[in-house]
Amino acid sequence: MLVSWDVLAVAVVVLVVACVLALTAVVLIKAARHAGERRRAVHDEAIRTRIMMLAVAEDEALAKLESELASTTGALGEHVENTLLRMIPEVRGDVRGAMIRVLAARGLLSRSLDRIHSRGAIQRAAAAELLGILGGREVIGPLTAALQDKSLEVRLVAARALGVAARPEAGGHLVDALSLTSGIPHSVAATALLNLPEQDPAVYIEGLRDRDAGIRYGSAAVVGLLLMSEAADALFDCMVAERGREGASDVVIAACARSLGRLGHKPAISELADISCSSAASSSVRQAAGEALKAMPGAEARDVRRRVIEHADADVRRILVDA
Amino acid sequence: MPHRILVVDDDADIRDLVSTKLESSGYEVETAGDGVAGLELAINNEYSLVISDVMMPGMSGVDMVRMMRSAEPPISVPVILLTAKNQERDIESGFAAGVTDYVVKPFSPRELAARVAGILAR
Repeated sequence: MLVSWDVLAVAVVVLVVACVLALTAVVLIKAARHAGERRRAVHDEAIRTRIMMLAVAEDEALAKLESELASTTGALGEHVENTLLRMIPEVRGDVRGAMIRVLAARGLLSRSLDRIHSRGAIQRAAAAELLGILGGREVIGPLTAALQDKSLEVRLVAARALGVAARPEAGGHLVDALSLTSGIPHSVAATALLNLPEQDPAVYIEGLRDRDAGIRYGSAAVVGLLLMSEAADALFDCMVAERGREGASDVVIAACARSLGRLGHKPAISELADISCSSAASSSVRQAAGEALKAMPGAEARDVRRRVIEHADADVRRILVDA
Repeated sequence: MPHRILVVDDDADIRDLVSTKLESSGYEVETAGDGVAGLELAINNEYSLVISDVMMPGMSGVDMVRMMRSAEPPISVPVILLTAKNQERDIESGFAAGVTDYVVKPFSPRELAARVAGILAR
């Protein structure tokens, strides 16, 4: 096949132009990056020491420093905000408190509370993330409302942010977010729940009785991870009820079994033995029951394990033989 | 003579925050941005204490401690590791490598300074 010289020349020219454009783009990106670094260095020079002094100053000196950082304007003010937002997730205690007070005094809290109602999902998600970092009672309402946002990205960021804000009153809302219809991955809502302090067992007991299998599953898993013994009876009831339910969920039964094992809830021993030998249960459910039996303390559990080993399948036997 | 402390962290914000806090408590502080630089400083200088992050590019804090302990002669300076929350494996391997204590992130600079004072008072 012959290619005319004209076509070849055009191809070469196009190639050269593309190379020149790519090189120019690389040079421009590098120049912009260098300019950004220089700008950051200039701002750091001007204010970094004062930001770091938040870890040291006390009483009146701290109040003065906070007010100075709060009233810094323009690009330097933005630099203060960016530096503090980078640092806050890494620190706790009085330094974190001082950093949050500076950001709130700069209006970041009120700006974020406004922006969480923006039209753009990206702005709403960014505002939710900031509200989580800033924390405090006033962010919980807007963040729990954002769990119902039409954008999944916003709902997901709001769930994470509630975990970061770590207020106990978010518990019920995050349990609801475990619902199969919320679209929020279970791991995200459950991780956020694990971050909350002073949790109310009633929230999980209600979750274990919910009609939504996702909420029952998530509640069962979190109760075990939090070692919430107050919810152990409800957990057991949930497992028994799930077995008798039409369209029973294997993951709910398995999560209940694992958590009962973690809690060492002895009244569940005989039911767990029954599940681990049941041909009606799936292999994963039988194994979860076997793992739970293995974790159970006491002589009764030891005797039951011996009996189960004689009747269970090979996978369950393997789990229990090591006990 | 004030105690000399080496702070190793690839995060400049944390490095500066910890340095500021420790300097305000009267310690002399030197810093390194990664495990390799930290190891080099620890080999060539004498410190009363090293504070190191775990996750760093190039060489982790745990590997840095392991190399310090196996150096000839071994560097037996106490080391506090800064670990991320729920990283039991880091803590376990840190103690196996010869770490003295650990502080979980997010950390309180005040608490860190108290731990430092406690170790240096031993």
